[in-house]
Amino acid sequence: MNFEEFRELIAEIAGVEPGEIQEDSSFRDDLAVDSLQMVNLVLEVSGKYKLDLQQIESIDSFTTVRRMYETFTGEVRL
Amino acid sequence: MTLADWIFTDRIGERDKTVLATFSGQYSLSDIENGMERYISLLRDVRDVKRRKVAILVPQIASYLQLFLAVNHLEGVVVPLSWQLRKDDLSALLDFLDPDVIFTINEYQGFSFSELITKWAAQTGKRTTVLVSEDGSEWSTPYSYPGEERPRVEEPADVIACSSGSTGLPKGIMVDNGYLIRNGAALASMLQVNERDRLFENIHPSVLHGLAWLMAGLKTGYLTLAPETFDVPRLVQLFREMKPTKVSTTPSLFRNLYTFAKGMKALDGFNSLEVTVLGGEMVSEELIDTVSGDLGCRLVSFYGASEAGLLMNTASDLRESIDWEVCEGIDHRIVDGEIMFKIPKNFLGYYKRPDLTKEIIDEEGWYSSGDLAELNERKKIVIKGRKKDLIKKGGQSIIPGEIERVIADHPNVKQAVVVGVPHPVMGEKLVGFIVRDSEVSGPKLKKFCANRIAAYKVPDEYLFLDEIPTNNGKADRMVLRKMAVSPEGSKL
Repeated sequence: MNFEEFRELIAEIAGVEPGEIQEDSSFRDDLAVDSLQMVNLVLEVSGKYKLDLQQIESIDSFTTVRRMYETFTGEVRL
Repeated sequence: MTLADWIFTDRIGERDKTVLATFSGQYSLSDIENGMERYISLLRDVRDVKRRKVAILVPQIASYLQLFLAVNHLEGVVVPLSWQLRKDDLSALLDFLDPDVIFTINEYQGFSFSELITKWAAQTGKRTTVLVSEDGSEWSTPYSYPGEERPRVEEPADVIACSSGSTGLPKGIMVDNGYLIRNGAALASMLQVNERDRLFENIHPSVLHGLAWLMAGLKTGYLTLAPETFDVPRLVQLFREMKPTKVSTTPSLFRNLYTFAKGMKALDGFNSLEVTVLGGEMVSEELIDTVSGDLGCRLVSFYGASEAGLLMNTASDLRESIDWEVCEGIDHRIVDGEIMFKIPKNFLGYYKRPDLTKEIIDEEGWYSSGDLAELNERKKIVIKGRKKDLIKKGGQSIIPGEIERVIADHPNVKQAVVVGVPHPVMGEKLVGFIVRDSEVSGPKLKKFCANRIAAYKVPDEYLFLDEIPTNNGKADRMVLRKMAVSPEGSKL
């Protein structure tokens, strides 16, 4: 999964325009994703890409799109 | 009798026991009582709250409880406010319930509650006192807004809980202390909770059911695990550390918790679990299938309403059957397919709306549930569906009319109808059907709503139509629900 694919998927699940999603977009403030939708999002993304849930310590720590991408892929984006 | 008298009298020897664990800390019975005493002193200095409405918007559960008990002890009328509310829905509630005193968190989840509330208080022209806190423990010097004194509350209510009416306007559910005492005891008895238990519950404490659980915990002396947020990985960790023996939550939240725990290879957190009770929304076959494999505990469900409290529970394990039994002391009957219950007199009606009260409860105390039910071949009650247009998302009740009004305020929208359709994670998801006057996209409408109402009320999906199908002049929600779940619906 590259960042573009990740962004497309987030846009689809969260019901926002892909163009609105920046790396530092806040799920809560910019994309209006609440805690239950966040759980849905994490389950959909991890299910689709067979990602391991064990590496997640807190959903509240997924403040931005970049944070979630980094946690799932282990790839640090500067 | 105040709730504090009920909880703290004759509890010598139990004072140091931890009775509440949240994400913010652990609290003994003494901690709760001492905190309450501090708030009683504070309130005595600030204002006489007897029969005055005191709104509390505090996410930290321990502080919220201490404050709640203090106001209650001084015979004030508590108005619990949810921190999920945003500009439009919170303002509508404040205008309607018109509290004398408000305790609010300054900012939470990126929203400045103090800014909205102080502005509201300043424009009322009535004497209003606002106290602000950063973290729910230390409070600002009270902001006092001068003006005419509001009349004291005449109704014998101790709590006015907030909900939405079918037209989208707020409603205040008035109950007395007896409501919380009776329902707390009924919940505890349903799960046979004793002082050795560790009970996990995450029902929102601003709703009466959540409050009843918290009161039951303090009274019985078991440990209540009540996290402030629905951060599932942290909850899974909490389960591993605290090993709850009993759980009370909604079906969708339990499913998510369980799915995560399984994905995190942390099902050992469920090892001490004896029984899980699910309520607040329908339990789906899909949920039962999801949790059937490895979950050793008993799985039951309960049925109730904010106005009526606990009404029914399932006798057998949900994996065997979903047969409802009416709770002891409550009569029921089925009239024209709708199940009705004769309920105790702790519900005192809707605040300032006797007309709405009459719609759901008659003079003899029969409460119209709005749910359709019938008896099965074993003469047990089966819930068939809803008569009212109520949506349950994550266990929270949503009245479509409230959201439809907000969307219809958008300049490019001609008409909006919102329906709920089943969703594995959220219980139900909200789909907005929109007739446009001119171009506007789903994402734009989502943002428009998110600035105005609580996030859980914002539709998850938007479908555009040339006109809304009708039946007898009203939007045909049945047809819309079918459209929302059909593959063609998503391509509209």
